[in-house]
Amino acid sequence: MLAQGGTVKRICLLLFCAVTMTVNVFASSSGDVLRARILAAEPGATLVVEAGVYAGPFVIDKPVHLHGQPGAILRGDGLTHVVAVRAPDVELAGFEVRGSGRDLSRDHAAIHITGARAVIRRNRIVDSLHGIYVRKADECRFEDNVIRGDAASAGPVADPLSTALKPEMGEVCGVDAPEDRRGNGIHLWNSVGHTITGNDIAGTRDGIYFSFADSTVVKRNTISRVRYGLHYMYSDDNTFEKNTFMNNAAGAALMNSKGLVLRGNRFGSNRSHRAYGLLFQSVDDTRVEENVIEGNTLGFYLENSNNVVVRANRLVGNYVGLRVSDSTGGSRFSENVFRGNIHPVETSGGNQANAWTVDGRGNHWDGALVLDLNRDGVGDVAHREPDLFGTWRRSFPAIGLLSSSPGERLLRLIHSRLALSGLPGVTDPHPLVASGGATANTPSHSKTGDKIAAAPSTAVSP
Amino acid sequence: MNTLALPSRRGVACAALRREWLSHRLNRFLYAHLALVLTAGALPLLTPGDALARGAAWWLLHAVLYAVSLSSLLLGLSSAHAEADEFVWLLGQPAGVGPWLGGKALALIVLTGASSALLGLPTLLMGGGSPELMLATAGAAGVAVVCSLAGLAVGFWIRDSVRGLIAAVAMWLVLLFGMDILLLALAGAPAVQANPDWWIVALMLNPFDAYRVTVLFAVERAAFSGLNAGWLAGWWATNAPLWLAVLTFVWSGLALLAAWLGARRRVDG
Amino acid sequence: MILVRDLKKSFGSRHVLTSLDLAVEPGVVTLLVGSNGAGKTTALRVIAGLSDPDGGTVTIEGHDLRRERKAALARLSFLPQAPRFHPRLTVLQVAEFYARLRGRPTDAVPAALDAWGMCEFERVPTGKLSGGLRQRLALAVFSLADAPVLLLDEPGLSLDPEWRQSLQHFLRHEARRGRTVLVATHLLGEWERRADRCLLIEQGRSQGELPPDRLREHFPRLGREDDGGPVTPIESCAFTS
Repeated sequence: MLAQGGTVKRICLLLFCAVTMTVNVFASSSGDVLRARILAAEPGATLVVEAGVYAGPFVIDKPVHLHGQPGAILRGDGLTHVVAVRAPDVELAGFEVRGSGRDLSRDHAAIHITGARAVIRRNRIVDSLHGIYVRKADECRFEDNVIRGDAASAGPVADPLSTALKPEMGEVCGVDAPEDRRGNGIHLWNSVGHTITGNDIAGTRDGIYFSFADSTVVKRNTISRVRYGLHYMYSDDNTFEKNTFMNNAAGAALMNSKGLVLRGNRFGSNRSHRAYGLLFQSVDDTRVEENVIEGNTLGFYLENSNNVVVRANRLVGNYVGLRVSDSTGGSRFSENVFRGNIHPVETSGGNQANAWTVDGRGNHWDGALVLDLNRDGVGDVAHREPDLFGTWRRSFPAIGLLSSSPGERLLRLIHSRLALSGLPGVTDPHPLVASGGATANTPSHSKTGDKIAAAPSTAVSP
Repeated sequence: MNTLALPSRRGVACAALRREWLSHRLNRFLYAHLALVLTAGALPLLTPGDALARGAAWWLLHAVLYAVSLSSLLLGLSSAHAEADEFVWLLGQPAGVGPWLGGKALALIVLTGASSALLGLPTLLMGGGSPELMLATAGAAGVAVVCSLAGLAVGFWIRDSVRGLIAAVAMWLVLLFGMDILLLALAGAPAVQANPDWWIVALMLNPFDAYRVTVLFAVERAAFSGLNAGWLAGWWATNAPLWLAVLTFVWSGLALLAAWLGARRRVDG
Repeated sequence: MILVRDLKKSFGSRHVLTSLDLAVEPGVVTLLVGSNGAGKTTALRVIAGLSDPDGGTVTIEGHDLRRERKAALARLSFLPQAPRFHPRLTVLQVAEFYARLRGRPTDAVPAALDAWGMCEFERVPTGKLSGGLRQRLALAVFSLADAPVLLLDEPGLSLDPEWRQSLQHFLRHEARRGRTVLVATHLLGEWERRADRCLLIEQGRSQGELPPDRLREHFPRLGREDDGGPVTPIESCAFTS
């Protein structure tokens, strides 16, 4: 019997090997066929790729359109890019792309693009280092792709309180996490004029990485469970509209850039101990409008950023709503709603280099004593928003344990009414009266997970 | 004669518990407390739609800090002062103060603890129940019990009703505002900045702060930038419910001890 | 039997009991008399365990109050001066509570209330009782203890003559049952010829005994009083002893 059992096992093993080899040979031969079709295709031709597994890598060096039918899988060899786009005007649509190399120093990606005007749409990218990597290729379009990094199946970003995560001390890039060994969802380097719309990115290192990438439009993308939803530097004149950056470890960080427009985006639930909803560092001449920034450790942080227009945003339920460094000047804050933040504003000085009223309209503040005798919706007396903790937050972080304490509230109330000098804070000369549904549909403090959660939006007084 | 047919301690405690219950049935203060708790519990219903469940704990925090704590404290105080006229009877009983106080305190604990459940009831009935709400409500019950027992202690030590009321309110103000303001004032001191753990310990010992931190960081899961403030701050922020449970238990015990010491004082003078 | 030896009690610099010695025998009604501030109430409170003495000993039925407090108090029932009760509780609730505290069956409560005419008020909150009714409730609670040693501090105050007489009968009856009865009072008129012994206390120490049936001779300003008649406070009398 034992001998018989051993024989059965051997037969099973042989069968398994045979099946595997058959699949590989088939995929390999399918890949060869596809490569041959690409090789034979005329420039501008459209190749419809049937369902099946196609072993890569593939190098597309002529302008062709590859349309994958449902079930068409481009599988890399784990050594290099799965698809390398080397010619302009290449289109890749409808594929599942997987199995890139893992060498960060070689920028291995599922789709690596050096040809201009590439169109990458409706693909599903998994099991790769970078999702889409663009290198010196302009005017590409990335639409409706789903990109899942290695951590996509790991669930939401861990709650730092429940996991006792102990981040690094770094001020901006202080998140030490396994994300460092992963690639980015979309990585743009040294290029201009892209359009990135409707993509869904999760579980990668950073969601979208910009470096020297100008004049790009980013719309309606959803980025979650990554390190930085947006990691961005030296990139000018870009527009971000209606994107959602949620549940990321460190939030969205934009640095050393100018001429940006951020409108109608949602930055939420970025909750590690140094996470930001939105971070500007040396970002100038930029408009930030109608965004929702909620449930973050620090909602919106401006450091050394000048001439930024911050208008009609909702800063809701953050631990600190807005932090403005002394080095930030010439920025204008108006019609923003500060609601349910534990600390609405953090600042180290009087912030007189920035304007808190534009064209006679200030901002909505929690607990403001607003007197509006002429009923024009604008308060008749200035509102003082003091920051009681000030720089102690960094020199004595334990002070954060006094957040929302009655004593802190009482002192803040007194300071806001008496406007005593010497305490950091901002003064809004014309605070706005009741924001009209400011609290409606506005959850605040976020819990980890996919939903925005917990709403002290109505409870945080002055 | 049946001179030695004395009741057991349990019998005395049961008699005191029963008496406390009978007494509170007619106590307008208790009904005011219940109305307050129910009103506070119903306030989250004003939060629209889906935010109901999410905002309830935040409401509870403020209701407990600013209203329920004081109400519980005064309930305990009134319970003590209601006995003021009878101390000459009670102290002369052979069973002693302990069992009687035990029964009385138990009744008070049940009353304040159970009434605190009403804080979460409206939200629960409206479908907003959640483990977080239960945690916030349980914490509220703990704080309410501590406050009521503290009120009992104050009432037994200061048997004059006016002076007792002043002392109780002063104690509440110190716990609610004074400690925080003092610690805030001390936060800038170099000695404190060099040894933040002592500062944190002082904060941890205040049941109001312990409840606030629990709701803020364990229930609301508010993002917190002070996790690197040392192991103690991190431990507290991550184990806030456990600490609150231990603290309310210890404070209840201490308040009970203080009440016992106050009650057994002779009626000299 | 109550034995008090060299009892001392001060409140700050005021020495209320300087060196009090008492021996109160069972089977008789003993008065403790003295002017206001003489130390009567303080002495009774110390004997009743409500106040700790600065020195001296109190023994009740052979049990030292300090060392065997529970045993001593178990043999004692004390009626304080001008007693008050939890105002929200009814007469019946108060009486039942103290019955339970004394290990007495609550079945005994109706009889005790009836003995002091309180049955018809048993549902009335004590906060709504008049002074006399409150005193009668106190007497009911006091008698519920069924203790061998009875201490009463000004028990006749607030009682009308009829109930004062009942009280005196009750105490004489209890004394005849072998109980030790000590009544502190400064209302001598109502107790003349109704007590068996009369101990005089002045300035916190014992001043000997007075003949209880000739108090009038010792306090000529007592006036002419009959049973239940107007009461003359002792401070208006000139002490002759």
